[in-house]
Amino acid sequence: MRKFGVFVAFLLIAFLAVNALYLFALSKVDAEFRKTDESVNFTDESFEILVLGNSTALDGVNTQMLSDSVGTAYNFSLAGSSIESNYIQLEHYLARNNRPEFVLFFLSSCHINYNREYVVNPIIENYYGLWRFELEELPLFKFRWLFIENFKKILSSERRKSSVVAGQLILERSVADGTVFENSSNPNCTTDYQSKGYTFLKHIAQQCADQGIKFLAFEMPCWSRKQNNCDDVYVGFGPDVKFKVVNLNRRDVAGPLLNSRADWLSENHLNYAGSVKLFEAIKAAILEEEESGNFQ
Amino acid sequence: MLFNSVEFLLFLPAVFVLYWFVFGKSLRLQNMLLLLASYVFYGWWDWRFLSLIFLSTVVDFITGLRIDAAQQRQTRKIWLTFSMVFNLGLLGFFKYYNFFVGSWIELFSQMGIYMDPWTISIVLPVGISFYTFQTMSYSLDIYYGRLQPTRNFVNFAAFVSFFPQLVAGPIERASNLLPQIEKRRTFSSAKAIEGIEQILWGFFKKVVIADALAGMVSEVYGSHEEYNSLSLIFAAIAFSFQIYGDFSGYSDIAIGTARLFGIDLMSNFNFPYLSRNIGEFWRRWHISLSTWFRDYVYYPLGGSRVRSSVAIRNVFIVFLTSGLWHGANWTFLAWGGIHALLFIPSFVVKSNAKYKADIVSGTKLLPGLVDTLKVALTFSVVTLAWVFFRSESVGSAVGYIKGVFSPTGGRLLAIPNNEIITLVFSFSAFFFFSWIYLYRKNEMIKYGEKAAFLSSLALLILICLFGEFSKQSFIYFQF
Repeated sequence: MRKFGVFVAFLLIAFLAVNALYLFALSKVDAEFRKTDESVNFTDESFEILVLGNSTALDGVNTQMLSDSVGTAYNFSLAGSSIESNYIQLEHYLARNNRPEFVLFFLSSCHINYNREYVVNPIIENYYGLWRFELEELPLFKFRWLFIENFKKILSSERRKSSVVAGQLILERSVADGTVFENSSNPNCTTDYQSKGYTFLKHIAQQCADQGIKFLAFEMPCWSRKQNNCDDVYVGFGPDVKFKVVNLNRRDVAGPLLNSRADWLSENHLNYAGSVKLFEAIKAAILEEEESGNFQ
Repeated sequence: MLFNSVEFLLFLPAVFVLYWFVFGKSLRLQNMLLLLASYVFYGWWDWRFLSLIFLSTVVDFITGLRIDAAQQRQTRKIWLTFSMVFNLGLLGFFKYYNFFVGSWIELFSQMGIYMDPWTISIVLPVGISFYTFQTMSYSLDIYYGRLQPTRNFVNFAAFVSFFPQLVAGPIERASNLLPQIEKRRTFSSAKAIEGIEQILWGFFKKVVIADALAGMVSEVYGSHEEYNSLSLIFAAIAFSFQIYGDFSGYSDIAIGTARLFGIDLMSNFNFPYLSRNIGEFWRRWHISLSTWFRDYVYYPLGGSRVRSSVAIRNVFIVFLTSGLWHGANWTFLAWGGIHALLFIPSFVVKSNAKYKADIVSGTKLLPGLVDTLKVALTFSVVTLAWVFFRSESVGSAVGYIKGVFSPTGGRLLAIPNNEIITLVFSFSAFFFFSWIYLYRKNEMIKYGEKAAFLSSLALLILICLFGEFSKQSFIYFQF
């Protein structure tokens, strides 16, 4: 029995050691791990613009250009982030750093169903102390998708050359958008920002209202088939919390702006060239809202 | 309780500790614990069906004693018939009642006679085909004088319900399992280490291979008319690996778990997809079922030691009943019939017993060209037969096969890049470990505890990285 006990004990120890090693390796090689490690440790920073969102904003919002022409900016977006994940990041940042002037929130309702996908990003859980005592917390399991993502670096020189600048993931890779815009396929424009999936949008807007931060939300563009003709909308969560959602997924905005062959990284995700083009629309929206005095 | 559940992950160590550390000195208490644990394991799924196992156990326990005690052959036969009628009746009612009534009504309706479709909704108790076959073999072995009945009810009940193999086999023979339950077990570290490794290998095959393929297979089989030939071929091959991973994975977990309790279960799979003809395939696939049919159906019918036409009839009976054992559907009968048709030519020319002892590439690094072609051909026809096994109806299976040979139309199954990379990793590991275990079996490599440690660790890592944990049930639970 002793021999078996030693075998099982060593197996468990070795397995835990591999998990620890995997976590350590990710913290050294994975771009999102490194970025989160950097951002969670910000103290007394004075960014003027905070960018929040998921993978579509991680690749598609050009923070460097925002810094150059509007104000110093940092892109907190992570792949697979829910709105709750972004809220956790914002709360953490505001508690340790100087108040920014703007918070720009990038939604992608055309890409994901917020009412279905409602989990905190595991990288956020890792760096913001949200670990639970569960089997699923083993790093090999919790961050399993990152094994494949980082393995792709071995296969692709484009991925090896990728970098993170001011929080934006810069990846020079193009996938053509072969889909076609069909007006009839997007007849209604009734994204319900008051529904359960958007609960933390209210919390973020409330936090910004409480601290006097100008808050503006955007809908990121998707591939042509998922673009629409919906207008920008104002969303209100009570008398003090009201903000605009700028629709960058409008056909007449995204259509002329983006090149279907050159500007996409993957389905519904802009590459760096796309982010450069989209920047103009983002900047125009900020300035317009600023000039009209409509910021909450 | 599913093997691939958190409940089992807590259940197994708890039973292990109680078994060896608390009740280790008393065989009686150990067996009572095994019985209790087995009933908890089964009752976790649906406690109401425990009554069926209990009833089956009581009937065959008494029948076994009566057959043994009977002086006259006629009396022995009556008790055996009672056992068979009870067990087959149980199976027939829960598994085949709706099928036969439905088929009967359909047959009459085709003749213009419409009958009231009086069927009742019957839930199929998990594992009923496995434990009824196990208890029947007990009574049959006593009847044929191959076994002495046990007089200890707890031991017999523990044999019938032994939790590692209760719901999906291997279908144990009383002559193998019962003596082990009745004899004092001693703990063997070497055996337990092998058990851990086999459990992990089983989990790997289940969650990394079978469950990862399940989604793609379901998608294509669910609407096969939409897909092109290449996608249909891919899904058919994928199902061959899915069912192998699923079922042999379960068997490995069962055998490995039993080893932790000092019990050796019979081997159920022996590299079936390396078979060079259908005869060899059936000596390597679901061995506990195929030998059951051989011993209790084929041999009593006369086997091959009768006229050729009768022997061929016997082969058909065995394959068709084996197909029907899998489920109440014409697809399973068709699957059994196809295997019979594939088996008959080698049976007639008496080459079916070829390749009995050795395994392809048993002593070489790789098989030769001729053997490779034979293996590929056998795998192809087995895969073709699986199409019937997996399809919803015979018509659907025929449509699927027509689609394979249709040069035009249909779309290609789209597999995302990440899934392709995952499949490449999973199958590389699967083939690597399969060859390692093949070489170990043939003693071509030394395989000590260090190797077992490294294999176990590698399997654990692979399960975490590539396993699909959406709690897919085992395919053979439905049989």
